[in-house]
Amino acid sequence: MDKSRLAIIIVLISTVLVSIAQLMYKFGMPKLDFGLLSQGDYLGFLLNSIILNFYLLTGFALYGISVIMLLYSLRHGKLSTLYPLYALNFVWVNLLSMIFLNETVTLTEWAGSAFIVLGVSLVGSADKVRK
Amino acid sequence: MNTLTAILLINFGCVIGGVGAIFLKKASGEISLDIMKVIKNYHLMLGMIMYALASIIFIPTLKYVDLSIAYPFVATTHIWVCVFSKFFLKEEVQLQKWIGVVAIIIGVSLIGIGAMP
Repeated sequence: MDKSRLAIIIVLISTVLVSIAQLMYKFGMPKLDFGLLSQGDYLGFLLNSIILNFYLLTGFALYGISVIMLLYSLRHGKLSTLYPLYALNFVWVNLLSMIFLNETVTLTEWAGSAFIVLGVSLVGSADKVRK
Repeated sequence: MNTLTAILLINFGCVIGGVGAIFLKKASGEISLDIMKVIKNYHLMLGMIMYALASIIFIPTLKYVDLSIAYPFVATTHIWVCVFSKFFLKEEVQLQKWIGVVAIIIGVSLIGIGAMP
């Protein structure tokens, strides 16, 4: 497969991963034990609520992997193609929120997301890639 | 915490994230493989701390607002990166980017309107 097509596939996978990471943050939040914080047990809070929080950790890891994948794909493809694809993560997050969190995404919010995808694409793809 | 406070917090986090990006840009010109130089590269450290801070501000808001409301506001980081690049890095920001900035502002405004009860 040629490099530029591979870059497109990798950037699409990275958008899915970064979206799942957001879902993980949302799942991990209720597990934070702010009681420990108010007791002044900062170490316990860090350890029990953040470091041993499966969802947050998975979210951080997925985010890290997605950034590496994005950087890799940018080396092999055109910014003006890849960045609009990267902006699709705003669509995936809406879909994941509907499916896994039972959130309602209204028509107004979908319109907002469309403008955001457009805006992020325009901002992100304006620069010429240095060869 | 109500929705409005959460959204304001996320926006504040994105301003910090935008400043972080400027520091990382400054740091990228000073990158070296010498570990001591990396640690002493205060642009790099400040940039990374601000990036982390932006996440630390964003994630807890998810406890109070829907993900589909909170996440779109992360896009406002791009607005601040454009503005700060122009003023602090004296970069030329193309018209295409400003059109993108306007689209993002319209987009998050629509999300905000949609989020109102």
